[in-house]
Amino acid sequence: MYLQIDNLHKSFAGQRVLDGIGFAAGEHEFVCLLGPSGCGKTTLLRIIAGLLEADGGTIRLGTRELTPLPAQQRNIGLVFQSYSLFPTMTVAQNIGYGMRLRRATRASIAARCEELLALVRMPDAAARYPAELSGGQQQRVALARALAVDPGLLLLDEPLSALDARVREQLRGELRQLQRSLAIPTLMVTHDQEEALSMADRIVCMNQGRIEQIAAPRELYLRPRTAFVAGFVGESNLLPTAWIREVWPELLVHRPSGSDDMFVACVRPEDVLVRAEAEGTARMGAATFRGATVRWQIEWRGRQLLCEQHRDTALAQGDAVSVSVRPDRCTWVRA
Amino acid sequence: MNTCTPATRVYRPGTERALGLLGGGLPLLALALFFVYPLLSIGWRSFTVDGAGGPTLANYLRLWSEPGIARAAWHSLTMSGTVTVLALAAGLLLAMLFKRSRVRGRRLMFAVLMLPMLAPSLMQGLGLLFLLGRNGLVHRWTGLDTDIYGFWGLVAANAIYALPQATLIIAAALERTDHRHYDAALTMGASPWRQFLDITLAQSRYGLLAAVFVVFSVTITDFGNAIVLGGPYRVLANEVYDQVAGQMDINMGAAVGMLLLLPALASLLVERSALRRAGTGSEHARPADVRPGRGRDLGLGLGSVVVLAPVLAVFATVVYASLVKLWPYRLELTLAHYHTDLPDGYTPIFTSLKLALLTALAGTVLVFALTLLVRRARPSLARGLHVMATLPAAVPGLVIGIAYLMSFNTGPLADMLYGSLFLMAACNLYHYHAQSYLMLATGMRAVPGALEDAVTCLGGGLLRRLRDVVLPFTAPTVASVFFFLFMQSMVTLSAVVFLVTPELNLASVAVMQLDANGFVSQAAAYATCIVASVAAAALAMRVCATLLARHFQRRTPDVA
Ligand SMILES: Nc1ncnc2c1ncn2[C@@H]1O[C@H](COP(=O)(O)OP(=O)(O)OP(=O)(O)O)[C@@H](O)[C@H]1O
Ligand SMILES: [Mg+2]
Repeated sequence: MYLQIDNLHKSFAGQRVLDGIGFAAGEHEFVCLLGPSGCGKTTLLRIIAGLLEADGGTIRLGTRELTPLPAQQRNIGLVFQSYSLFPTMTVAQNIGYGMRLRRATRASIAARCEELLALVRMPDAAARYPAELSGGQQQRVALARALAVDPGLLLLDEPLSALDARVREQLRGELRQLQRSLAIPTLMVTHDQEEALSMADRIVCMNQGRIEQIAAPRELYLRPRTAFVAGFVGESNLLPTAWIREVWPELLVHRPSGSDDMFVACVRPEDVLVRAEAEGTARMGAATFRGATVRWQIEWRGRQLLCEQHRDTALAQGDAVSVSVRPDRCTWVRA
Repeated sequence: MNTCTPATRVYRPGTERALGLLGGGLPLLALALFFVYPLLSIGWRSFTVDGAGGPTLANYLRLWSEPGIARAAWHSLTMSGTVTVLALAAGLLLAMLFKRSRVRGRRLMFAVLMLPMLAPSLMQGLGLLFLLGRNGLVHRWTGLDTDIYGFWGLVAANAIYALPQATLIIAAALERTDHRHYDAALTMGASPWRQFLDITLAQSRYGLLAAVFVVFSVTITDFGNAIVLGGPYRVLANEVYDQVAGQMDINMGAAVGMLLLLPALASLLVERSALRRAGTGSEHARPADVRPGRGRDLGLGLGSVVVLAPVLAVFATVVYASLVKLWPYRLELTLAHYHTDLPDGYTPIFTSLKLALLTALAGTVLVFALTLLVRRARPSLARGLHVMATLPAAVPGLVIGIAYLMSFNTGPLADMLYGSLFLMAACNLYHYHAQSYLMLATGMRAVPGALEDAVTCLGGGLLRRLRDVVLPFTAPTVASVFFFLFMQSMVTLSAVVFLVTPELNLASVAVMQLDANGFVSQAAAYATCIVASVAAAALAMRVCATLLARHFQRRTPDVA
């Protein structure tokens, strides 16, 4: 693989922040680092960029061993959440900064600048100052600045999370397209699962300094391996083995062997099938309107189940229903 | 964990490493050599007696037995207490005027208030002497027997000197009071007086407390006024100076100096804990709107005029007295007193300017490097450095001066340093180190770490980070620190008075010498020259900081 990370460790004042992180990424891959706040994503990114020294472990990029190189020599592009343009330089000066450090000629800087501005769809912004740009535009310039020096790897630390929802949506698409057309290996940090699912080729899901699962978005959603992933990526009903054995014994067929508290069943709300039935023992609870769908609470056998239905479903709170799940829609995850 | 590969050290370019070592090592070395070492020396010397060997409490025991010192301590305490009460009341009044009134002419009043900060503290003494001395203007006009030497003279001079500092601290506290408190009080129908008691005073109580301590420690450690006006009313500063300069008993002087360290140290500690409890206030605090109020404005305006009139009078009198033939008998204007009788003429002023420039330049660079180091250091180290850097606030100028005298006029470094401009610059820097450091540390917080990281990733080194990120963001603060050090160096007396030599005299010391030799008009002329140069520097600072801030603000991205 192009980017190869092995057994990275990092502690701050005795507290483990990264614990044996290892994964790999292909030469044209877009990988998302997904995890809750404080799980060590930024720390990992800073170590890869060389801004922080790891306590142990190795990083290879292509044929180069990165670990002993200082950040200045790693040739990695980095984009932050915000506030990372030079306020006293124009957009063009910002973008050309890295090339100036490399003593490129004026003409080549100007040409590259123009090319990049076209690429991030801001062809007329060269002479403007960052303060005159919107947040989304500033992030495009930051991206162009990172790309200007032809980095071997692009690192993005929550580049979209300071933007408002609409701009974020639009930039997601543009960013992904840009990455595909440049075929540059990219590692993006986010704590927004929707962002990760919609953009990544592969997702590295982290929790408390460890990797929980590495998988393509579909796989991660449909086949989570741990209860943490099942709960963090999308919503799910996590059901204990004893309860399943009593209620839906047919779901036990795929269960890996192990003691009762080693695995729980994960059933996505949209996979819970509900049928109105007068003698049904389940009761429809509160409903939350979500636009295209409605999220129901269902009370059954002493548990609250989450269930997602099309908004037209003719059900009302208090209705008696029967509930079922197809065995292939149930995933057993480590508790 | 068991298979953890050992970390590979990151290789850094040699120049980068050298720069980092130099930038971090130099300020630490300077702090150790020019602050910690002298302070330890004075502490040590206060426990020794010349001739005798080991440590002894003899000096401290003599503090008790010598009636002069006990009396001076008592004088210092009562005088400083009185000054504190007066300056606090006046400071509160003025702070209310500036922050909570719509009185016209506030800018002018503020300029008058700032006068004492532009002058050596001797200036108040001289002015009061010209006005209220035995042959002062008031005596001439009214025939009353006036005598300014002693308790009340000292109180008046020190109150004038401390007034701007008290006002600034209280005004800052008023500014932090959230407008929402007043909005709530208004909707509940609280009278202005109740609002003043329940909100204004209650909310700014830590600011008031801080003002109390600053005024008290500034006053009790003041030197200039005590020398000029104390007369028969001797305070601790007189005792220190006499022990060291008069009787040459440096060990005894050190012991009295340690005594002076106590109030300042105590006030620093109390102030710190009070500030910590006060917190930084609400994030979204917006200063209160000032609603129209005629009665309030009239009261505050009149009160402020009463408070500020003496300040203006004192300074105007000094300038006027420097321009007349024979104060107060022959009032024809003349420039004669500007031809000074000092053997070296106006050289001390130029020496002072040189010193101020050197202090400001070297000081700004050193303090800047130190704040950078603190910014990059790991938290435990940063905390320690922070305490070290702010500790000089607790050390009065007199004590620093004696400590320097002891550490550098004999011993291994004496040949190199004693009687040099360089040593005086170090003395001034560490006298005002805490304030400079705090200013820059605050400014440094505005520097976005992400931008520094971006430069690093794009291939830039330490110098690039400084030039393209840190400096643009801290330029206005750096300018303020530069001018702060410059101005303080021009006017300070208490520390450098122990370091001047006949060959290397300073302007503020020259004023003191002229006054002591009875050339009061020439002293006034000299002081006026100092004020003029400092005022010019202050003006330059205003312009410079405004320009830098404007240049910088126009281009600040407003992304949160
Ligand atoms: N310089 C530091 N010193 C001490 N602790 C740190 C430092 N940097 C990070 N940490 C700690 O390491 C942990 C991981 O931090 P990190 O910034 O990597 O989290 P993150 O996953 O990026 O979170 P977020 O989504 O909030 O950005 C946190 O508990 C944080 O407090
Ligand atoms: Mg982060």
